[in-house]
Amino acid sequence: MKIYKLKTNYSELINSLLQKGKKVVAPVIYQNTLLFKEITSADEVVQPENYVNTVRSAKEFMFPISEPIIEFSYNNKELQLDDYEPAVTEKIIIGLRPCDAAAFNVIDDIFNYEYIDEFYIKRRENTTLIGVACEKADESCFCTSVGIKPDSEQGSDIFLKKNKAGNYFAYANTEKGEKLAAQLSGVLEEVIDVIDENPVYKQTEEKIRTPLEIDKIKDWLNKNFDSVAWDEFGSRCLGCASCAYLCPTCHCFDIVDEMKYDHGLRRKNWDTCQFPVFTLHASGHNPRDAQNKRYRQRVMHKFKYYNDRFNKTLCTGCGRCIRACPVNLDIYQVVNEISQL
Amino acid sequence: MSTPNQIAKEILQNGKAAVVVGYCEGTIPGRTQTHFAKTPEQAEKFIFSKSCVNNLAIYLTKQYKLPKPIGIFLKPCDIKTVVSLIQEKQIKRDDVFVIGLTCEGVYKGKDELAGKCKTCTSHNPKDYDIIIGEPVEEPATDPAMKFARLKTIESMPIEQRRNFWMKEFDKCIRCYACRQACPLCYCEQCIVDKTQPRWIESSAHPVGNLGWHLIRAFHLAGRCIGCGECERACHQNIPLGLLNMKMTKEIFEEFEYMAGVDAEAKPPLTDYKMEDDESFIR
Repeated sequence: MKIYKLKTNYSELINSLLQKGKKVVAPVIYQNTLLFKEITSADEVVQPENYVNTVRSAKEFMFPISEPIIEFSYNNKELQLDDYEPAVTEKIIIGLRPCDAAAFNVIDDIFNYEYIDEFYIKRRENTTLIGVACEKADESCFCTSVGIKPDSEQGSDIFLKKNKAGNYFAYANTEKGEKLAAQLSGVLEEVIDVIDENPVYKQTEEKIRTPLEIDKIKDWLNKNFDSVAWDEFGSRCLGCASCAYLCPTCHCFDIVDEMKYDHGLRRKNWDTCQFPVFTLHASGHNPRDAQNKRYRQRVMHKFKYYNDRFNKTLCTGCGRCIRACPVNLDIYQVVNEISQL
Repeated sequence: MSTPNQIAKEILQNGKAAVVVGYCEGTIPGRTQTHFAKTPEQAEKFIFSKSCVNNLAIYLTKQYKLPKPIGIFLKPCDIKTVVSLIQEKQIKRDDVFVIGLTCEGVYKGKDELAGKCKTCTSHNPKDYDIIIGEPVEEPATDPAMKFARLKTIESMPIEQRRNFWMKEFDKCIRCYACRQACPLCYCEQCIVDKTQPRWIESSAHPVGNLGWHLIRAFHLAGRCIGCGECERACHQNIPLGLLNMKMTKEIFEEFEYMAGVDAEAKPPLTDYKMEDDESFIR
């Protein structure tokens, strides 16, 4: 790992990336909402000190909300299929929080499992992630429950963190990160000194919800698929996809064909286990015919099934599901209750 | 004066309700959760505070299928939902035991008055079975204020208005929180989920998003009671209330009808009169 000092500041780092002709994605205020968007100038970017996290995670840059995968047309009733090459350009995402950067390491496993999802993989290979440590946390953050801290570098190719005096240092963690850092000698200067810790990260960590007992939760989930507790947990859920779509690790999708006259696109769209149609069979039967069963699936997938298969928890504690839930159905509260059962 | 938990306990004990739907403390400041109580012991958790912004009438229909009669805490604005649901034959008045709450406005977030409360003119519940809170003075009604929120958008030239909406809809990720939070979006199969034929594209692209939001606005025309839940549920901050308010205004100006006021009235889009203007049919 190489460590660099930022010669000037965060904005200058971004401007230098732009000057090098890179496509840069960063948090901006778009129509009153803090979102990751492609930028043209550092002036648009919200400074890392000024936000806890973006409304949506950065997963849409690897796994878009909707994307074409096959093009098809009919020529005199003859079907013609054309592969659709994923639209991939080299990209840098800057301003990610540790919970969002870490999420890609988690979902890499599923997109490389059995079926290799080239749409995801190609974007992933062409994207460099620059994470920034958290100087703030809000009441919904719970990353420390799932092995992440406000200054965790995991998942970031380059990680930005301040020293005690408040100057940013860039930690190049991966080959990709080092390659990018090497091109930025105008704004980065390699250092070999030990960097004195800024106490703000420890203070932020203390504000985060008390860590959950993940193992205990898993033990209970292993044995309690049929527990009556699920009736209570999912009873007030409205069945929307706010939690799943804002989640940096939820990765389910639907396949739809959209046609106009004799020509169409097969698209891959975000989907969620919270919708009844997600499991509705053609026969009309629905194995998850009630919201508590659908909510159980969400909890099981995050804290048991994904663990069984990949030995990872499908959650990075970003807290978006808690912030956005219209009825304050709080997954931390639910699994915390489970750990006490 | 009785508190929410005392009243809930009482009506569960004397059989006026088989279940009570109300608010309890949430997990983050400014938020409350829904709480269901079927026994007097479970009723202990009920509260009412400035953070009780949710419209609990959502739990009267959809998939919830609660045992009847349903005791439910409702603010004066939320009671309008019950009126609409009765009109639309979704519930019977006798199946609901309304615990009316006197309300002088609730918060959006920690301490900011919710948008809908700024122009609210009903602080005292009307059609209730029991009431919590002493009557409060109603604010002066200024008819000009009713649709004041539409002023800016209505004054935009059509091209600018289109751009405004396309930018707003561009944020839509089709999570359907607007639909799921809406107490009047109770269709068992939503038109957007129909695939044979597919009426509205489910993809979050400009055509799909425009189609979705317009069809939802039209399906709620003359039915929306303005509880603001769709807009509150939208984490992408799309001002959905503007669309519904515009439809409400059109209906009001054409038919002098407001949804959620009179359970006996027929909603204009399900009614006709012999003298109705038909000149637009060609």
